Amino acid sequence: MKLVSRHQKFAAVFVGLLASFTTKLGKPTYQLTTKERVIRPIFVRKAFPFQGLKTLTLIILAIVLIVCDHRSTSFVPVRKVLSAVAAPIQYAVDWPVQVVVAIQDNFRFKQTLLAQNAELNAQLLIAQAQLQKSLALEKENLELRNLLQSANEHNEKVLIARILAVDSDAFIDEVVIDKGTPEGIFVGQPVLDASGIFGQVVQVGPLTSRVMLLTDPRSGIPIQVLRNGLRAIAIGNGETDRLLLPNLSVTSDIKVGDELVSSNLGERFPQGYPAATVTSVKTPPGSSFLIVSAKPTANLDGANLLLLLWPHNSIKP
Amino acid sequence: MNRQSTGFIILTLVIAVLLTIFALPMWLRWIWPDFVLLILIYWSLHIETRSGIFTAWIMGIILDIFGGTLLGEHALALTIVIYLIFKLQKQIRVFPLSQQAGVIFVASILYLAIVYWVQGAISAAPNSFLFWVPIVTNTLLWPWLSMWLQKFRTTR
Repeated sequence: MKLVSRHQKFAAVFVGLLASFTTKLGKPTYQLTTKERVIRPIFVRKAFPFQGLKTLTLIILAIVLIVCDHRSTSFVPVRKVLSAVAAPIQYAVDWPVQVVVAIQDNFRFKQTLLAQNAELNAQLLIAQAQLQKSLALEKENLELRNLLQSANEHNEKVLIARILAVDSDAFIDEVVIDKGTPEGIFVGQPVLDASGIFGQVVQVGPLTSRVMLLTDPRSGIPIQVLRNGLRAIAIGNGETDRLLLPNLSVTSDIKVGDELVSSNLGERFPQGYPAATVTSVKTPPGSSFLIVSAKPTANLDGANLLLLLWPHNSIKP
Repeated sequence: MNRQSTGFIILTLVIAVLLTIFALPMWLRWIWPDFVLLILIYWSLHIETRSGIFTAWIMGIILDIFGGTLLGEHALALTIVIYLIFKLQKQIRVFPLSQQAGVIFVASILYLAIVYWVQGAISAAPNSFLFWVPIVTNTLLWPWLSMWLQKFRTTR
């Protein structure tokens, strides 16, 4: 029985080959019967032969990339090159926004401009007055420091950068700025906006850099309560306007409305810049730690211009 | 049907990337659909001659570069999703649009779950439930997107 079927198969294959040859010649002389057609799929090539293998390779490659990018510092130059490739596209996306802003500026009424000018002049006057006062205080501070024989704090160098109108993933609190390696930007550089600490530089490229906001889950900033000098760390939570202050014991003296300033404990953020304001203090029953949340002072969602700082972390005894 | 100019496919993918990286207000950013995912699913459903898995991987890397995520994160998610979609291509393609939207729902969950898992592995998992909102917006957008692309393809 088996033998017969095998013979039949051979015969069918032979006939099939013959048929294919004849069809190639353009003269289909032999028509396959239904029984013979059953074995035809053997000759049909699979449409995507190594698709599973290809997918597996790509998946493994992706995982290797993830691990390398996360673990190894050797990926920093790769990232730099990729950011250089991405930069022109980011600028291209940013360009129409700038055009709209420019058009808006052009079509502003003279009176509005005059009013704005007057207001800015008034603000400048106030700022200058405050600066004079702070200059006097700085001088006094310097003298006191000299008395204490500690190192002097020099003037800090600053640079203004503009945020490009491109977004990161929703859960990544980062912005792209238009300054990079040529300006001497470095990873870990503190970034401010007009009203407070904004974040820090996490990646530098030749044309653009990435700034991580204070609210990113990976961010943490050592802070101090302005009122009493209590130290804590404000960590990001992924929400736009909330920082968390963990590990404060229930006996800590902190209350709603307290100003939090940077404390230079990690030697990354300069001392004394406003960072956040306490918005809620909760004492969970049975726990020995407070739940404290604070609102960042900086305008994290709406800022347009940022200040990059070159601090002098030379407060060494 | 099967033959589609490569130029048009690339154009749709470029538009999808531009829509993804364009600056938006924060609340809109959270509900913004994953355009690249949807476009890739569309093409892997409607083209028989190419699998699109390599394209998906490349698009994932591009998303990672612009999105600030780890290199390979979106590539991993897109490769797996597009592979599965392509495997079930013949079944899904004959579904009515409403049922296709159901497939998009599941595909979006898988996509976001992989991204969430990678973020969790580096202990930076997004802790806002808003992270999952694109599942709904993707599902709602799918019938429209599918019809539009169909229309563009037939008029060309």
